[in-house]
Amino acid sequence: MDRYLTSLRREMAGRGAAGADRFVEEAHAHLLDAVESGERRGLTRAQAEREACARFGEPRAVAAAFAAEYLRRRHRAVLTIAIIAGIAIACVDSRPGWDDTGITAFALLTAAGLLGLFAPERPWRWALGIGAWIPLYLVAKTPTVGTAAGSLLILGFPLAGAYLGMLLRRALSSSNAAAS
Amino acid sequence: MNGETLKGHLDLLLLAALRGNPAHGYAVAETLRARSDGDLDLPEGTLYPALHRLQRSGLVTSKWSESTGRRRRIYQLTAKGARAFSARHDEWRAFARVVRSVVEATP
Repeated sequence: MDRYLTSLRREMAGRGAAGADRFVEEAHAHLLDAVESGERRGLTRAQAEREACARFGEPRAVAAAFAAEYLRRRHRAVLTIAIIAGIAIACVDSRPGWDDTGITAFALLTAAGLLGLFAPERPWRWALGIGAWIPLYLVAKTPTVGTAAGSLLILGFPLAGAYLGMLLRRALSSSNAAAS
Repeated sequence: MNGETLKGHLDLLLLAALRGNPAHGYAVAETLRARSDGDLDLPEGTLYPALHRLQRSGLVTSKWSESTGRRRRIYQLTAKGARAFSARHDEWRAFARVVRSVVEATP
């Protein structure tokens, strides 16, 4: 059972699931209850521990179920931040006196990169959340096919940033895993 | 009955298991097993993410207790959870009635 809990703790930590320690504490109490129940049914301690761990589920599957819940919440928050940042950048870019496209492109690239670094799962969502507003504004202002096609090129900056962030996160994770 | 079949019904099952009596996770798993005569076969560890989700939704509340000498987290249905149970139970009954009437109809 101790090996099982160690494995569960490792799987939870590896997936960055929030509340891992408290959940492992719950799992420990659950397994102890299950072992006592097994012993009352006539199983040996070792048999009862094996049954309890088997019924609780593979540590990897249990941690994945937990992480899925955690990631869903985190992704909602990241998408909200992406949309707010995207609207803010679009507001600055649309000001009459603003003519520094380089700074806008850098802002799109950097903001998406940071979100891709923080949440590397399917980073195109953050890129769209950040980058969709300038094309939408331009198309609303001048609704022509040419404007639409040209403005879509702007999406290249947040897409590049988000995927660069994702790649950087993967590289950091790999080097951390190699170090440990 | 495996976890895949239960997908979409787990919240209702958990609310039903907690209706009337606060319980810790192991007791919830035991209730599900006993009420289904052992037919509900899903990894017990996967009940916890669902319980925590119900808590975040305000349908369930929890507190740590050491009343029996072991520290356990006790889950309890809230008033909102009780209302959600009634609503989902009604939906389930209607759904089951429709499916049964189609599936069991004589061709």
